[in-house]
Amino acid sequence: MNELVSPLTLSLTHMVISTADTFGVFAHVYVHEHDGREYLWKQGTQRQTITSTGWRMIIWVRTPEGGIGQAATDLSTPDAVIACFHQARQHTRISPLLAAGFERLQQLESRYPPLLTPDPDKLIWEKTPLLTQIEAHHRHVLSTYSLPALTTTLTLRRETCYITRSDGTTHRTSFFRGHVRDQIMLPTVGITHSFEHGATAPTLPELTGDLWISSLDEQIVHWHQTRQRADTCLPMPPHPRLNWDKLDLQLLMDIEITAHLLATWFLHQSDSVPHTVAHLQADAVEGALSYQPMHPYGYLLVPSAIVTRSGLDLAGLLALREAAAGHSFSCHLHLELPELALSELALSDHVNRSDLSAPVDPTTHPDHPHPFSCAEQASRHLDQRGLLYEEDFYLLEGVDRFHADPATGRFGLRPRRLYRYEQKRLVPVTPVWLTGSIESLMPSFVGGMSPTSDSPADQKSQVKPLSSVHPHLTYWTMSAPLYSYLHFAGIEQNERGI
Amino acid sequence: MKMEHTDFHHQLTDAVEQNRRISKLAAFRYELNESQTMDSAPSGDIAGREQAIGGMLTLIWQDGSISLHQLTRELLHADSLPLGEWREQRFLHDGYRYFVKPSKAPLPVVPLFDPLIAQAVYRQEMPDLPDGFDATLTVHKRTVTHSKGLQLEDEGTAIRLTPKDLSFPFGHRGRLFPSEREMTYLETEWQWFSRFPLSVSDQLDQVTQETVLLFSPEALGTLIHSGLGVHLTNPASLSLAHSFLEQCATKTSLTLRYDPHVPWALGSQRFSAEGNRTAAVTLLSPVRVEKQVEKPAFLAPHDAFEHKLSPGPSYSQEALRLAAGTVHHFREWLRLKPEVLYIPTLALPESYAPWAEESAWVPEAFLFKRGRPVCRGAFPLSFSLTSILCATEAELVSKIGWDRPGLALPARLLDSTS
Repeated sequence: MNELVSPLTLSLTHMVISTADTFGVFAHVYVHEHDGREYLWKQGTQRQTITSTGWRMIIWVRTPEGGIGQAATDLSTPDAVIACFHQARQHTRISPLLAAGFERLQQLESRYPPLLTPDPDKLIWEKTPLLTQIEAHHRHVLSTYSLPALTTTLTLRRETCYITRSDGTTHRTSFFRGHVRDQIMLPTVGITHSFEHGATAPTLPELTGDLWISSLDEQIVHWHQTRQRADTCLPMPPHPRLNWDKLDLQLLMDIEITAHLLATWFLHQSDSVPHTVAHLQADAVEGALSYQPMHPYGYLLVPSAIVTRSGLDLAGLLALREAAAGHSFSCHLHLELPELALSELALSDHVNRSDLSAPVDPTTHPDHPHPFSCAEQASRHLDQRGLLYEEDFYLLEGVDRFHADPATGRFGLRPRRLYRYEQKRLVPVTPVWLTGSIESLMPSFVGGMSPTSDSPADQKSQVKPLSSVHPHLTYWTMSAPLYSYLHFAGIEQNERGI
Repeated sequence: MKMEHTDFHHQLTDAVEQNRRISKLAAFRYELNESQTMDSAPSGDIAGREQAIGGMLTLIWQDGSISLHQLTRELLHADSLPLGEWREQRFLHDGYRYFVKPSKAPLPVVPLFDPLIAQAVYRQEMPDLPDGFDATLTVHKRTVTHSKGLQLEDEGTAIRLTPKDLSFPFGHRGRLFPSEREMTYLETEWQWFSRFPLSVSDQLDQVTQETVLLFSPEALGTLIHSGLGVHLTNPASLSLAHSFLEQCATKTSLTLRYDPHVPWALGSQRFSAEGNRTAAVTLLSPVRVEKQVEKPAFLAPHDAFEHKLSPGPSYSQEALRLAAGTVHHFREWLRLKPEVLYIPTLALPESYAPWAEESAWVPEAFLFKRGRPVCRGAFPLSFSLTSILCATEAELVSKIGWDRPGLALPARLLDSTS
């Protein structure tokens, strides 16, 4: 197993631990190494390859008095590493929340067995079938849609993580991460669209692109079809904007929107959560783009509930958020909501992840009801049970624009499609902005509806990375019910004429 | 700042000049950005001192192929160059093989370096700050070099003062440490502002016709960059930018320049990533009679990298500057206006069409009535870049803490509020 970690890294971490012993402090050492390639295709030809390598050590020092200090270096020399240790040691401070985060990770780790990682083979980047697959995909997209400007970027990285602590615990892992992005520029209107997908695998040959390519193809087909179709929408009285803090609103939102809001909630400072039916869990999911089984505090990352019906694990949440800010860490967030009692609806296994990207036009799936028709049935069902108020019930699908300020917790979201419930059906209306403060999200969840399937892995839909809207969450992934149902009991306040 | 790349440069020169037969290398060039930052309020629990390195190495091999490698500290300090591994990554490309000839003429003189900031960072001693503000001080060094003799270096500093109180919208950005007078101004402004209790409104877009919108330099930079700057740096949409500028020239009363030579401005730099002298370009100026409008050249050099990994690209959105006959001083100007809606920042898609109706998200705006703040709130702002750059009643406003002017115009001139 030692081949995974270079002898240099082993000797440097050993040096830190023994220096920590000398000074009578407890040290946590986290080393993240990566070796990667970025391939770029433009207008049908491969244009360039870029190599990159990186090494980063993060040292946490804990003193017997309860002080905690941290420092990091990206230079793998004995001098740099020792200087980094002393910087961490000299900058300790008492932080009960941080200490609680360490305790929490320690507790969780002790319940799980160590990681198993295969021995590495000699790495030959160009042997991966991904290169030819992605190139074929690039050319296919270019010729099918006669695009004036298409750029496809494939990023492949081998990442190695090694953690060691003064209590003698060590963990090591190595895996491959692949990420592909198609960027379409429409020069006549000056608008850019991006589509992305990715995954992780223990070895490079296991990282295959079939699933990515079909996902990207679907995203692009959907984009192309909605671009061509001019929606006939009704104008949007009575609200020029939906503010969930001010209006009584019932919203059915698709997974893409839920994921954007959830990520904003995750990044926003919030000490407590009022009562919620939501259950939010953080996990390192093998195969997901976000896979990263080690926390930079020097512990294994094991499944942990952040939000439950009984409350919030604040220490766990802050430990994850702190790691997100360091950029070399990613994680999978999984949201569970009580299943809306809609078992009689045709939410069978054909409503799977691929349908998420499909157009609303039901004629494209003549044999199956589309997720939209399920949403419409769900609305009628809620209506029959007297739970729905016309004109205040909206269905939101897709994200056209999303902006959030994690500092204030306020966000603005314009969905791609917006429907209002009128006369027993969902009527398309002109998409308007939905705004509000993110604190209202968790207590407003009522339930969710998801496809049912025999395979537990397919039960919840996953969404693509959110790095474009949340720069701190590069490669993070989320799963949530296909549609979430939220109820906001806002207070209308007329502030006109301020 | 200590030179981190001296050995690395020697090794590369050696591989190109002494060991050509073994290395198979013909030439190299690289751009390196080194920076050291000190923060008065470290974010999270990271100790308040960060060193960063970024850059890109281009190798030209004897068979005419090239290879690209991201520069990291690990690579700069390696005992030997991984030439074998690099050789495996060669590819053919027409660009990249062009070298800037070292010029005998001196580079333009643009002061960017404040010794006070540099000393504070090196000694790790934060100077006295105005009350109520946190500071981030940075020293950065850029090197552009190639094996045909070019060696350019530049050192600069930057400072950012951010209010500790999130509800106060004014900070300070620049390359010079603020003077006593400026610090007193910032402190006094903060104390004055905090005397007024602000209500929160979500209907700031429904202001009266006479309300004046004031865009901060940062918000204005985002507007012009995403609607015009992006197109001026992309060969695919350059003609879109040209036709927009042609359309605007007869209507505007403003001058828009891309000027990287303004002393102490954040967008200033003396040479590009390839080693060319940077040049100022007038993008838009008032033309009263119909005449051929000059078409500005593509802002990024033709062999610019096709990726975004390389930090410090030649184009900087902060070098986009508006100018007009008169520039008003913020305090006096604000006092004379019955109602001003100040927009410190806004969010937009990566790029948008300059003449189309677009919607920007304003996370926090501040409404002033007769010079006093009354409320704040978030709202979506509908506009078109044409309506902003061609607004007949546009005024430029300067303020202590801004390194370029902001823009003010009546709200009724934007499509959304008319």
